Amino acid sequence: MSMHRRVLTLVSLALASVSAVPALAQGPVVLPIADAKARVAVEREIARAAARGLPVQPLIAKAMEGVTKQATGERIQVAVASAAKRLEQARTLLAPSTSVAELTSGADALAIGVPGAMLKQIRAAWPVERSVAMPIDVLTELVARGIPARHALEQITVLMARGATPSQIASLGTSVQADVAAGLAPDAALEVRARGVMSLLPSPAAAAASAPSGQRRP
Amino acid sequence: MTDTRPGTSIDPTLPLRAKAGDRQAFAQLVDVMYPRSLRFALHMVGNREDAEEAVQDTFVRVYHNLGRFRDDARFEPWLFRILANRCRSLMEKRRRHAVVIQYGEVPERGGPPAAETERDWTEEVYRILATLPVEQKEAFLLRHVEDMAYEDIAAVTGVGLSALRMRVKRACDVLRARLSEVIRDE
Amino acid sequence: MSEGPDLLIERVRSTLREAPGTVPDPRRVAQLLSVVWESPEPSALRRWLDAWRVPSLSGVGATVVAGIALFAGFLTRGAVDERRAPEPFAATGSQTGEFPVQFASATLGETAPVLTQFVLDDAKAQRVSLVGDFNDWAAGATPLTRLESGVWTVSVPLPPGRHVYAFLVDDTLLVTDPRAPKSGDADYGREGSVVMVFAR
Repeated sequence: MSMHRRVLTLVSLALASVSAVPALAQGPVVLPIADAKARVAVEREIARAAARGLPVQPLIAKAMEGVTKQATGERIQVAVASAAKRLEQARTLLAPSTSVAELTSGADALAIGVPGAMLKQIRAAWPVERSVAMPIDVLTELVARGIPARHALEQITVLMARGATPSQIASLGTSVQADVAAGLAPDAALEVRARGVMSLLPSPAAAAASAPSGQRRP
Repeated sequence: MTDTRPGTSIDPTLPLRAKAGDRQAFAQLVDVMYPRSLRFALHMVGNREDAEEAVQDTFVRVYHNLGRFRDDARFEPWLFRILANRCRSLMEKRRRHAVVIQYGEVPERGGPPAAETERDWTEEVYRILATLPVEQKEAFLLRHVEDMAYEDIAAVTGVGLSALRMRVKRACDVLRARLSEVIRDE
Repeated sequence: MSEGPDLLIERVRSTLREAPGTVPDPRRVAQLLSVVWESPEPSALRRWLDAWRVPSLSGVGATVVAGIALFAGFLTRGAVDERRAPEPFAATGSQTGEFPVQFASATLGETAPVLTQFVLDDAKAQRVSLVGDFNDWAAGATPLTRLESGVWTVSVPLPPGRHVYAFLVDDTLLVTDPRAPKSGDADYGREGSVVMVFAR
């Protein structure tokens, strides 16, 4: 496919995704997948997802990722269907959150093997109006570095309960990344870095006193 | 891809076609046997991560050793033999770590009393299973969960029939004794 | 044996058969097939040896065959490695622990995009672009600029969070960032790099 055609396609995808459900329900998007049969199947999968109220942008990205990685049409089809399924699971687990960022983060966490129950626990750790995308992303990253999901969840939910900001929680992820890259055992890195972030936070009593009403502990 | 029923029949030509280089046939073998393999591995090693590793490794080994698979042999015991060995190796590797049972998503909490009781039962079953000696657990799972004939289990484990029957009996005895208490509490 | 205990074992059997977490993840299955199918085919010699393995060999015979197989395997391995094109997405440099540089825009709050710089050392490349979940993996959408030193760079505003990306070199070769941690890819079997973006 020429660059010109690809750019046109992307533009049409972007436009389609902006108008989300109606656009996809009425006219399927055109993806640059060489295998015509797989392309139609992927487009239908995306349209079905849109009809179920799922965000389509992560699915388009998943399909495009396959195109760039020169995956077969069949494989792209499987990947998009799996991604749609995970988005739906994430929406159920993270309810009432419906933001694209949170659902995408939740779906990515499920993809890496984070148990669904843990997403629920993270959602419950902060008030519903507060996005939990970053804590989920950090959980995903810690698990990807080899830390058992339970240990990672424990540290993250403690930080959330203690009033840590998303950036502070994110810094835990990047610090552990660097430590693991430098050769430190993942579990040891998590323990050390979690203590470091914790030391920057107010005491538990002060955090409880300043917590917004309705905030639940994990 | 979700059929974990025991005794899911394998087309006997599949292993032979896979051996001859038919990738689609190998994919079908994976499709049929992956769920059962994952279930067995999960019950053996007690956590999803290790179970997945054991299953993935097993199928890679199976693929690379298809040339050694005898045309007159049965595929299922052959696969489970490799899988059981992988599970044992992983368990040995993890032996020094504390036993943590992670059976994926925990069933919903906060359900009606009946559901809560069922959850207690399930957790107790997992707990007892985790305490069984590995050879008893292996024999019990192959016999009662995977519905394998003792002759096939012998092929998997390399252990004689009478010894296998004894292992299964002992596992059943332990489960009966300890679960009877849970039933009384219900 | 009484009926009670049999029912109890039957209940155990049902519990274990229906255990949660035993439903396979299609991604892992796809990953498995990818790993298997992308692995080198066994050599003709290996197949021949496999075919002849079963007949009962004497201890000496088995040792001789094993020796030949080992030697053949050693030779074949070298041959396969030499034939193989560079692994797509293989790290091209040592792990330095330096991740993509991020420039704070904290004044706009926790959700504001953060300008993030990506760097690739590849003096031989003619074109390099950045692909990732933030630009729909669109080849050519985010080209890098070549500096006189042969280093390629680009800075892009990214929303806070975990992002997976790679570099596309000369429109064909996908490479991971040697400065960043890797991310597995069960969907397509091609590793990516990870950057955690946040307001500092």
